Amino acid sequence: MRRGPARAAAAAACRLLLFVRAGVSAQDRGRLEGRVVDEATGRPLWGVNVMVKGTWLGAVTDEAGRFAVSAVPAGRCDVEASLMGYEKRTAAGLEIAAGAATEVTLRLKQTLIRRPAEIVTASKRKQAIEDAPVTVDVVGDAEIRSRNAVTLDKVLENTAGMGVTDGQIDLRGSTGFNYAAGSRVLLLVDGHPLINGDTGGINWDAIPIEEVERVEVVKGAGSALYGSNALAGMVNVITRDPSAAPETRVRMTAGFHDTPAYDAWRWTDRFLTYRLFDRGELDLRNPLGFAGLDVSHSRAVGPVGLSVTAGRKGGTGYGQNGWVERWNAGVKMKARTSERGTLNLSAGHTDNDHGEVTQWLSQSRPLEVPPSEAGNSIRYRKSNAAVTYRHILNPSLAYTLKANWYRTHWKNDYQDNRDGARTDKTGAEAQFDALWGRHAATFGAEAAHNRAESDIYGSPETLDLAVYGEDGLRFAERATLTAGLRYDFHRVRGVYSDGQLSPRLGLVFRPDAETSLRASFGRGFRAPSIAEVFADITVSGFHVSPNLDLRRAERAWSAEIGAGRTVDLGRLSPVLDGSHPVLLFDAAVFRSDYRDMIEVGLKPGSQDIQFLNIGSAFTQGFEGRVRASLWAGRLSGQAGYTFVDSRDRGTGRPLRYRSKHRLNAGAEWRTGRLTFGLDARFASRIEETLLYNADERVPVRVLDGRVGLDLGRTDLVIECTNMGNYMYTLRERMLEPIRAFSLTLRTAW
Amino acid sequence: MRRVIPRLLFLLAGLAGLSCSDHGLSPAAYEPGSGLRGRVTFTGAWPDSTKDVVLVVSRKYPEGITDRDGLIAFVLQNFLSGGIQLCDTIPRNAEVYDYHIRLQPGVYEWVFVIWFPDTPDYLYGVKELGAYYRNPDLQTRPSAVEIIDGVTYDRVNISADFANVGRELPFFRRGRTR
Repeated sequence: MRRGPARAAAAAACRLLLFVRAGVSAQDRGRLEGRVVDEATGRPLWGVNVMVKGTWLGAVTDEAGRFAVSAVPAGRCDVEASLMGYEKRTAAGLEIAAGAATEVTLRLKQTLIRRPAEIVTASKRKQAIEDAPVTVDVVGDAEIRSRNAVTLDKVLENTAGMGVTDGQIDLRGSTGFNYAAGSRVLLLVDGHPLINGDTGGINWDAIPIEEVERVEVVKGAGSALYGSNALAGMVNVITRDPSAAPETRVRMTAGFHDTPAYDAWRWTDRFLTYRLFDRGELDLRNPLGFAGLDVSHSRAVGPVGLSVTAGRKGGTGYGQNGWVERWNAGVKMKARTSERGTLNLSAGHTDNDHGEVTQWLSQSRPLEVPPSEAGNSIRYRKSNAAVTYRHILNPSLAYTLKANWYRTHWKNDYQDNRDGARTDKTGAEAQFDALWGRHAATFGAEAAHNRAESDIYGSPETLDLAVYGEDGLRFAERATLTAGLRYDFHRVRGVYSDGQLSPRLGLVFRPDAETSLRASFGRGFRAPSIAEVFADITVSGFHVSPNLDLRRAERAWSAEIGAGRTVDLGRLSPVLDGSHPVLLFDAAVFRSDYRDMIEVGLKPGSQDIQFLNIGSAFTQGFEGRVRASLWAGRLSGQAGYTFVDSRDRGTGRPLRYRSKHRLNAGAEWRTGRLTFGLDARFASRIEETLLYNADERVPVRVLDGRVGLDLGRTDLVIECTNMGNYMYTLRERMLEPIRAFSLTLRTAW
Repeated sequence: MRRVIPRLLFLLAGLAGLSCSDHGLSPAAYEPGSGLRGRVTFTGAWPDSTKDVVLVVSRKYPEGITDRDGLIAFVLQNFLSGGIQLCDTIPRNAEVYDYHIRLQPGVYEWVFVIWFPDTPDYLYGVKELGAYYRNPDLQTRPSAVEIIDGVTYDRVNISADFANVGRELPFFRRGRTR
């Protein structure tokens, strides 16, 4: 007799229940306790991830390096400890006694290259970075702290294959620049999406940079797990957990902009009047400059870890209308609700008033705006809150419940425009992680609601529902196959609804411990944003009209083949302090084929500007990355080169705002308490722009330099950005930042 | 490897030097290259309702288009595709304006000056004040300019008349002889 779908579903639910109960009903459990220390110094290590292998049971060490894992099945088990900057260590064959505590001490050996042993974004669960079937870059807190950047995008633009234009991420040629509408890279903060509800773009100032622990940049289609916007990849910002011991941190930054490269471009007498090399004069009385203060405090309140942060930043900008006034506040809370449950809460608010520049006055006066734009500004407020609850049902099954809310509220204060919009985006997700046999599976469901109130959009609403699942099968000792599938339903109330199926396949083969070979193939998509469908506004003389026929999501099939290897350079360079010089290298070829790409165009048979499905396009290329650490880590460096060939199939021309070649390189030299660092960014001339395509454009050649002084709990960084005072544009008629000097003091107690 | 490190540092120092010696973009008016140079001479008073007066070049001339909507569609379409470029915004109340614009090599059929009214939808109220005519006495159609790579063409002069602001549609002069 053929079973109906309802009976089959009921049977599956029963099996799942039995699976859950099988774990819960286990009688013999013990407790695993211990500490993790640095192998060389014996110093306790804080923030180490300790996991019982083959289960979801684990803990994070406290300031004393101690951890405790409850309800561990009695018998033999392997325990893994991992921390960024240290080699992963496994204690094999630990005997867990029923009803008793087993004590263990784990000693970790520092690695010369700081990168995490585990990541959480590529497969929506913890995994070794070498086991990810796609390219993953990780930017750690040391890299962020060593720079005086105010927003995170200024740090991330040093990542291989990544460009940032006016806040919009271009990952391997995916986006270029789309006037802040519709990011093709999904931004997450602690796994919660932080994409604007109306424009579908990104506001970097909503992320408190001082609270960032690391950033995982995943390249390649990720819609099989994350849905819309993860068309070309994900950027997941992981913030630090509150500390158990009371800790206060302060960061103070001050700096000034230099003069432009040409006297003819000076638009105010507030530019510096010095000629250090010519006349030895320096007048710092009233320069164009910037300053900021961030304060945070973290402590445990009973069983709850709590951190609060507040900051203020302001500056004149280097050009007319470039001023900014911003303050932000945030809170994060982490609590263990039971032996197996953890609750995370976070909330933040940012208020940002800033001048607005659409384009320069002329190339002869590029730091000034046309008279019709003088004094234009925007007030932008953002509020967000997120809740995550994770519960381990049994050693093999855990679930995570998430909810988030993100409000953006902006209002133009232009000479000829007072439009504004308020958008509320809410989302919820239930995710299950299961381990059985050689399988590691993640599956779940997600919902998001988006509502705008605006004089340019009206009051549109969207609803998104999705189910997804991905399984990683270790089918051989050194090979893992990943297969995932997600279905997304997208409805724009009263206009249309649409469904998208996003599969992904991945294969990882590790012939030895130092080498990883990977291949992936998947489909990504991005649903049109509210702004792209409903915007009805006259701006800069153009009338942008709504396009209710914009009903097709842009989609792309993406493929990648890559390899990574760690090489011990012990034969080539001296071994100091027992540390071997190390070189990490990674290379990948990639290709994405886009359908129904959404771009700005002219409404057919009309004079109005609209967002339209323009047709098909492709991007393809090569990326190579290398990291090296020599002389016991005193000299370290990294470089990444990306070649991108992009083409609009309709016109046969390169896609707009893309550079064919992109090179990022950096080096750091530590001697005693001092650190000297250099970052170089090169990008070939942008081949096409939407407007003024015949304007002069030049390649990007920017060099940043810094000196750091480490005084223990206090450190000082002096930085010069754009050392060569190189004048360039990334979009039409908008000069990128000129040379600036800054001083940042960080201290903690 | 002991040799590699000094080389690496030397490379970085070279990179820094290269970065310092090349400043990228420069004030266009002082740089050689392919482009146009000339003088715009204004006739009449600047209207109070002026938003901007801009020098414009177009690859194509809207031959055969006589209605306003068709013309604006032509302008927008070519503007978005890069066929039309807004160049210099001319300082208010100027009587003469000397320009020097960089352009990619190719044929430009229409070099002209436009006036924008000070209204929210100013793009749709645009008027042509004047265009480049090789023979100012024969203004049947603006003169095309072919720019060869590396050459700047001089004396591409334009007479701009504010009387054209009040003219009836179409906004550009057509078939007018003097």
